[in-house]
Amino acid sequence: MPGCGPFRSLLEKYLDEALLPQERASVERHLRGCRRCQGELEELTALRAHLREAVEAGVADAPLARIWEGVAERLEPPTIIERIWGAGKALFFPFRSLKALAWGAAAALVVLFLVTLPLVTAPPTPSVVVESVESEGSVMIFQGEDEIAIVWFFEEEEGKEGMR
Amino acid sequence: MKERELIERSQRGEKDAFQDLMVPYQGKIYSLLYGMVWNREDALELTQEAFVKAYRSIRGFRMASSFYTWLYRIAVNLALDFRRQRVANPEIQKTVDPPSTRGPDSSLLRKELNEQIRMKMAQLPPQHRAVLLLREMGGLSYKEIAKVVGCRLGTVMSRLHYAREEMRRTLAPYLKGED
Repeated sequence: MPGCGPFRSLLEKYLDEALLPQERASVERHLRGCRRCQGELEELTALRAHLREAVEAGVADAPLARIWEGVAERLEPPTIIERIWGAGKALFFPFRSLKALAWGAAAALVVLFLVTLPLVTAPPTPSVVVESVESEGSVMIFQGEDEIAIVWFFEEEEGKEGMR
Repeated sequence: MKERELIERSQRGEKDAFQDLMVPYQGKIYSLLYGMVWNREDALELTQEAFVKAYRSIRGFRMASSFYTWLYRIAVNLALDFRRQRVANPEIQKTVDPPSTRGPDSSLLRKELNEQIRMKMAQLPPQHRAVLLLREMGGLSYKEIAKVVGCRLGTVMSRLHYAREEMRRTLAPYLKGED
Protein backbone atom coordinates (compact mmCIF):
# COMPACT_ATOMS: atom_id res chain seq x y z
CA MET A 1 0.00 0.00 0.00
CA PRO A 2 1.45 3.39 -0.95
CA GLY A 3 2.27 5.67 1.96
CA CYS A 4 3.13 2.83 4.37
CA GLY A 5 6.84 3.72 4.63
CA PRO A 6 6.78 6.22 7.47
CA PHE A 7 4.23 4.16 9.40
CA ARG A 8 6.06 0.83 9.09
CA SER A 9 9.07 2.33 10.80
CA LEU A 10 6.82 3.42 13.66
CA LEU A 11 5.11 0.06 14.21
CA GLU A 12 7.72 -1.25 16.64
CA LYS A 13 7.56 1.95 18.68
CA TYR A 14 3.78 1.68 18.58
CA LEU A 15 3.97 -1.86 19.96
CA ASP A 16 6.47 -0.74 22.60
CA GLU A 17 4.30 2.23 23.59
CA ALA A 18 7.15 4.60 22.82
CA LEU A 19 5.24 7.05 20.60
CA LEU A 20 3.94 10.49 21.44
CA PRO A 21 0.12 10.67 21.68
CA GLN A 22 -0.26 12.42 18.32
CA GLU A 23 2.08 9.91 16.61
CA ARG A 24 0.14 7.05 18.17
CA ALA A 25 -3.16 8.47 16.95
CA SER A 26 -1.69 8.91 13.47
CA VAL A 27 -0.48 5.27 13.36
CA GLU A 28 -3.88 4.03 14.56
CA ARG A 29 -5.62 5.98 11.80
CA HIS A 30 -3.30 4.41 9.25
CA LEU A 31 -3.75 0.91 10.68
CA ARG A 32 -7.50 1.10 10.26
CA GLY A 33 -7.06 1.32 6.49
CA CYS A 34 -3.88 -0.70 5.87
CA ARG A 35 -4.00 -4.48 5.98
CA ARG A 36 -0.28 -4.80 5.31
CA CYS A 37 0.67 -2.78 8.38
CA GLN A 38 -1.99 -4.62 10.39
CA GLY A 39 -0.26 -7.86 9.37
CA GLU A 40 3.16 -6.48 10.40
CA LEU A 41 1.84 -5.48 13.77
CA GLU A 42 0.17 -8.85 14.27
CA GLU A 43 3.47 -10.60 13.53
CA LEU A 44 5.34 -8.44 16.02
CA THR A 45 2.66 -9.09 18.63
CA ALA A 46 2.73 -12.84 17.92
CA LEU A 47 6.53 -12.88 18.18
CA ARG A 48 6.32 -11.29 21.60
CA ALA A 49 3.70 -13.79 22.76
CA HIS A 50 5.63 -16.81 21.45
CA LEU A 51 8.90 -15.66 22.98
CA ARG A 52 7.21 -15.20 26.34
CA GLU A 53 5.56 -18.60 26.10
CA ALA A 54 8.84 -20.29 25.16
CA VAL A 55 10.66 -18.78 28.15
CA GLU A 56 7.75 -19.40 30.51
CA ALA A 57 7.57 -23.05 29.40
CA GLY A 58 11.27 -23.38 30.17
CA VAL A 59 10.95 -21.94 33.66
CA ALA A 60 7.46 -23.30 34.41
CA ASP A 61 8.53 -25.42 37.37
CA ALA A 62 11.68 -23.50 38.17
CA PRO A 63 13.16 -24.40 41.54
CA LEU A 64 12.99 -20.82 42.80
CA ALA A 65 13.25 -21.97 46.42
CA ARG A 66 16.70 -23.33 45.60
CA ILE A 67 17.86 -19.86 44.69
CA TRP A 68 17.89 -18.82 48.33
CA GLU A 69 19.48 -21.99 49.56
CA GLY A 70 22.49 -21.16 47.41
CA VAL A 71 22.44 -17.46 48.09
CA ALA A 72 22.15 -17.66 51.90
CA GLU A 73 25.30 -19.77 52.09
CA ARG A 74 27.23 -17.18 50.19
CA LEU A 75 25.94 -14.04 51.91
CA GLU A 76 29.00 -13.46 54.00
CA PRO A 77 29.37 -10.01 55.51
CA PRO A 78 31.59 -7.76 53.41
CA THR A 79 35.32 -8.22 53.99
CA ILE A 80 37.30 -5.55 55.77
CA ILE A 81 38.71 -4.37 52.43
CA GLU A 82 35.19 -4.07 50.98
CA ARG A 83 34.10 -2.11 54.07
CA ILE A 84 37.04 0.27 53.81
CA TRP A 85 36.46 0.66 50.08
CA GLY A 86 32.74 1.34 50.63
CA ALA A 87 33.41 3.87 53.38
CA GLY A 88 36.13 5.54 51.33
CA LYS A 89 33.89 5.74 48.31
CA ALA A 90 31.12 7.33 50.33
CA LEU A 91 33.56 9.80 51.88
CA PHE A 92 35.53 10.80 48.81
CA PHE A 93 32.90 10.28 46.14
CA PRO A 94 29.70 11.66 47.59
CA PHE A 95 28.48 12.50 44.10
CA ARG A 96 25.62 10.64 42.52
CA SER A 97 26.79 10.80 38.96
CA LEU A 98 29.85 11.44 36.88
CA LYS A 99 28.31 14.71 35.71
CA ALA A 100 27.97 15.93 39.30
CA LEU A 101 31.50 14.75 39.99
CA ALA A 102 32.80 16.70 36.99
CA TRP A 103 31.00 19.86 38.12
CA GLY A 104 32.29 19.38 41.67
CA ALA A 105 35.86 18.94 40.44
CA ALA A 106 35.58 22.01 38.21
CA ALA A 107 34.23 24.11 41.10
CA ALA A 108 37.03 22.89 43.39
CA LEU A 109 39.64 23.82 40.77
CA VAL A 110 38.19 27.32 40.38
CA VAL A 111 38.21 27.87 44.17
CA LEU A 112 41.76 26.54 44.41
CA PHE A 113 42.87 28.84 41.60
CA LEU A 114 41.26 31.91 43.18
CA VAL A 115 42.78 31.17 46.58
CA THR A 116 46.30 30.56 45.31
CA LEU A 117 46.38 33.31 42.69
CA PRO A 118 47.41 36.16 45.09
CA LEU A 119 50.09 33.95 46.63
CA VAL A 120 51.57 33.19 43.25
CA THR A 121 51.45 36.68 41.78
CA ALA A 122 52.18 38.96 44.81
CA PRO A 123 55.83 39.99 45.30
CA PRO A 124 57.46 38.81 48.52
CA THR A 125 56.88 41.26 51.37
CA PRO A 126 59.59 41.50 54.05
CA SER A 127 58.21 41.41 57.55
CA VAL A 128 60.77 43.94 58.79
CA VAL A 129 61.27 47.21 56.98
CA VAL A 130 64.12 49.60 57.76
CA GLU A 131 62.71 53.02 57.05
CA SER A 132 65.54 55.30 58.28
CA VAL A 133 68.87 55.13 60.02
CA GLU A 134 70.46 57.84 62.13
CA SER A 135 74.21 57.60 62.04
CA GLU A 136 77.17 59.90 61.52
CA GLY A 137 79.20 57.19 59.89
CA SER A 138 78.48 55.04 56.91
CA VAL A 139 75.74 52.38 56.99
CA MET A 140 75.21 49.11 55.17
CA ILE A 141 71.87 47.30 55.24
CA PHE A 142 71.07 43.74 54.27
CA GLN A 143 67.39 42.92 54.10
CA GLY A 144 66.31 39.36 53.22
CA GLU A 145 62.87 37.97 52.32
CA ASP A 146 62.49 36.47 55.75
CA GLU A 147 62.36 38.22 59.11
CA ILE A 148 66.06 39.07 59.21
CA ALA A 149 67.45 42.51 58.51
CA ILE A 150 71.13 43.24 59.21
CA VAL A 151 72.43 46.79 59.61
CA TRP A 152 76.14 47.59 59.84
CA PHE A 153 77.29 50.98 61.26
CA PHE A 154 80.85 52.03 60.37
CA GLU A 155 82.44 54.71 62.61
CA GLU A 156 85.43 56.35 61.00
CA GLU A 157 87.65 56.95 64.11
CA GLU A 158 87.41 53.67 65.99
CA GLY A 159 86.17 51.41 63.24
CA LYS A 160 83.35 49.94 65.36
CA GLU A 161 80.56 47.92 63.87
CA GLY A 162 77.00 47.91 65.10
CA MET A 163 74.34 45.39 64.34
CA ARG A 164 70.64 45.42 65.02
CA MET B 1 7.55 -2.84 53.94
CA LYS B 2 8.61 -0.29 51.38
CA GLU B 3 11.42 -1.06 48.97
CA ARG B 4 13.43 1.96 50.09
CA GLU B 5 13.43 0.77 53.68
CA LEU B 6 14.44 -2.73 52.61
CA ILE B 7 17.29 -1.27 50.58
CA GLU B 8 18.50 0.82 53.53
CA ARG B 9 18.37 -2.18 55.86
CA SER B 10 20.17 -4.30 53.28
CA GLN B 11 22.83 -1.62 53.05
CA ARG B 12 23.34 -2.07 56.80
CA GLY B 13 23.96 -5.77 56.17
CA GLU B 14 20.56 -7.20 57.23
CA LYS B 15 20.22 -10.43 55.26
CA ASP B 16 16.50 -10.93 56.01
CA ALA B 17 15.72 -7.53 54.57
CA PHE B 18 17.81 -8.33 51.53
CA GLN B 19 15.90 -11.56 50.95
CA ASP B 20 12.56 -9.71 51.24
CA LEU B 21 13.91 -7.17 48.77
CA MET B 22 14.91 -9.81 46.24
CA VAL B 23 11.86 -12.10 46.38
CA PRO B 24 9.67 -10.00 44.04
CA TYR B 25 12.47 -9.97 41.47
CA GLN B 26 13.70 -13.55 41.58
CA GLY B 27 11.21 -14.91 39.01
CA LYS B 28 11.90 -12.07 36.57
CA ILE B 29 15.66 -12.30 36.94
CA TYR B 30 15.59 -16.08 36.59
CA SER B 31 13.42 -15.86 33.43
CA LEU B 32 15.70 -13.22 31.92
CA LEU B 33 18.79 -15.30 32.61
CA TYR B 34 17.13 -18.44 31.34
CA GLY B 35 16.35 -16.59 28.10
CA MET B 36 20.03 -15.62 27.88
CA VAL B 37 21.48 -19.12 28.43
CA TRP B 38 18.53 -21.51 27.82
CA ASN B 39 19.68 -23.86 30.53
CA ARG B 40 17.92 -24.12 33.89
CA GLU B 41 20.94 -25.03 35.99
CA ASP B 42 23.06 -22.27 34.49
CA ALA B 43 20.20 -19.79 34.91
CA LEU B 44 19.81 -20.83 38.55
CA GLU B 45 23.50 -20.47 39.21
CA LEU B 46 23.61 -17.08 37.51
CA THR B 47 20.57 -15.86 39.47
CA GLN B 48 22.29 -16.84 42.71
CA GLU B 49 25.47 -15.13 41.60
CA ALA B 50 23.53 -11.99 40.66
CA PHE B 51 21.91 -11.84 44.11
CA VAL B 52 25.20 -12.42 45.91
CA LYS B 53 26.82 -9.69 43.83
CA ALA B 54 23.89 -7.38 44.49
CA TYR B 55 24.22 -7.99 48.26
CA ARG B 56 27.92 -7.26 48.23
CA SER B 57 27.56 -4.07 46.22
CA ILE B 58 24.26 -2.72 47.55
CA ARG B 59 26.11 -0.25 49.77
CA GLY B 60 27.11 1.57 46.61
CA PHE B 61 23.52 1.78 45.33
CA ARG B 62 22.18 5.34 45.20
CA MET B 63 18.50 5.85 45.89
CA ALA B 64 18.31 8.35 43.04
CA SER B 65 18.44 5.55 40.48
CA SER B 66 15.92 2.78 39.90
CA PHE B 67 16.62 -0.37 41.90
CA TYR B 68 15.35 -2.86 39.35
CA THR B 69 17.40 -1.41 36.48
CA TRP B 70 20.43 -1.61 38.80
CA LEU B 71 19.62 -5.26 39.54
CA TYR B 72 18.93 -6.10 35.88
CA ARG B 73 22.28 -4.55 34.99
CA ILE B 74 24.10 -6.88 37.37
CA ALA B 75 22.22 -9.89 35.95
CA VAL B 76 22.79 -8.97 32.29
CA ASN B 77 26.50 -8.32 32.85
CA LEU B 78 26.88 -11.71 34.51
CA ALA B 79 25.09 -13.40 31.62
CA LEU B 80 27.33 -11.64 29.10
CA ASP B 81 30.46 -12.61 31.07
CA PHE B 82 29.18 -16.17 31.28
CA ARG B 83 28.73 -16.23 27.53
CA ARG B 84 32.26 -14.87 26.98
CA GLN B 85 33.71 -17.55 29.27
CA ARG B 86 31.86 -20.22 27.34
CA VAL B 87 33.16 -18.92 24.06
CA ALA B 88 36.71 -18.71 25.44
CA ASN B 89 36.50 -22.24 26.94
CA PRO B 90 34.60 -24.42 24.51
CA GLU B 91 35.47 -27.55 26.48
CA ILE B 92 33.09 -26.47 29.23
CA GLN B 93 30.25 -25.87 26.77
CA LYS B 94 27.05 -27.35 28.01
CA THR B 95 24.15 -28.23 25.83
CA VAL B 96 21.00 -26.19 26.18
CA ASP B 97 17.96 -27.84 27.71
CA PRO B 98 15.84 -29.97 25.39
CA PRO B 99 12.60 -28.33 24.30
CA SER B 100 10.17 -28.24 27.16
CA THR B 101 6.78 -29.91 27.02
CA ARG B 102 5.65 -28.01 30.09
CA GLY B 103 3.51 -24.92 29.99
CA PRO B 104 -0.03 -24.23 28.93
CA ASP B 105 0.27 -25.77 25.46
CA SER B 106 2.27 -28.96 25.00
CA SER B 107 1.17 -29.74 21.46
CA LEU B 108 3.66 -30.85 18.87
CA LEU B 109 3.50 -27.51 17.08
CA ARG B 110 4.16 -25.69 20.31
CA LYS B 111 7.20 -27.84 21.04
CA GLU B 112 8.50 -27.29 17.53
CA LEU B 113 8.02 -23.55 17.80
CA ASN B 114 9.73 -23.40 21.19
CA GLU B 115 12.66 -25.30 19.72
CA GLN B 116 12.90 -22.86 16.82
CA ILE B 117 12.81 -19.90 19.19
CA ARG B 118 15.46 -21.44 21.43
CA MET B 119 17.76 -22.15 18.49
CA LYS B 120 17.35 -18.73 16.94
CA MET B 121 17.84 -16.94 20.26
CA ALA B 122 21.08 -18.86 20.75
CA GLN B 123 22.29 -17.54 17.39
CA LEU B 124 21.58 -13.89 18.17
CA PRO B 125 24.49 -11.76 19.37
CA PRO B 126 24.27 -11.73 23.19
CA GLN B 127 23.79 -7.95 23.35
CA HIS B 128 20.85 -8.17 20.93
CA ARG B 129 19.37 -11.08 22.86
CA ALA B 130 19.63 -9.11 26.11
CA VAL B 131 17.85 -6.10 24.60
CA LEU B 132 15.08 -8.28 23.13
CA LEU B 133 14.50 -10.08 26.45
CA LEU B 134 14.56 -6.89 28.50
CA ARG B 135 11.87 -5.46 26.25
CA GLU B 136 9.69 -8.50 25.57
CA MET B 137 10.02 -10.31 28.90
CA GLY B 138 10.94 -7.53 31.30
CA GLY B 139 8.77 -4.85 29.71
CA LEU B 140 11.49 -2.23 30.21
CA SER B 141 11.31 1.03 28.27
CA TYR B 142 14.01 1.93 25.74
CA LYS B 143 15.51 4.36 28.23
CA GLU B 144 15.63 1.76 30.98
CA ILE B 145 17.20 -0.78 28.64
CA ALA B 146 19.85 1.78 27.67
CA LYS B 147 20.71 2.17 31.35
CA VAL B 148 20.85 -1.59 31.93
CA VAL B 149 23.08 -2.42 28.98
CA GLY B 150 25.00 0.87 29.08
CA CYS B 151 24.44 2.11 25.55
CA ARG B 152 22.65 4.89 23.70
CA LEU B 153 18.92 4.99 23.09
CA GLY B 154 19.45 4.71 19.33
CA THR B 155 21.59 1.61 19.83
CA VAL B 156 18.82 0.00 21.88
CA MET B 157 16.28 0.63 19.12
CA SER B 158 18.55 -0.65 16.37
CA ARG B 159 19.48 -3.79 18.33
CA LEU B 160 15.85 -4.44 19.12
CA HIS B 161 14.86 -4.01 15.48
CA TYR B 162 17.65 -6.31 14.31
CA ALA B 163 16.76 -9.00 16.85
CA ARG B 164 13.07 -8.86 15.95
CA GLU B 165 13.80 -9.03 12.22
CA GLU B 166 16.05 -12.05 12.72
CA MET B 167 13.44 -13.81 14.83
CA ARG B 168 10.64 -12.96 12.41
CA ARG B 169 12.60 -14.29 9.46
CA THR B 170 13.08 -17.65 11.14
CA LEU B 171 9.65 -17.90 12.68
CA ALA B 172 7.70 -16.49 9.75
CA PRO B 173 5.70 -19.70 9.13
CA TYR B 174 4.49 -19.64 12.75
CA LEU B 175 3.69 -15.96 12.82
CA LYS B 176 1.62 -15.54 9.67
CA GLY B 177 -2.10 -15.22 10.12
CA GLU B 178 -2.01 -15.43 13.95
CA ASP B 179 -4.23 -13.53 16.33
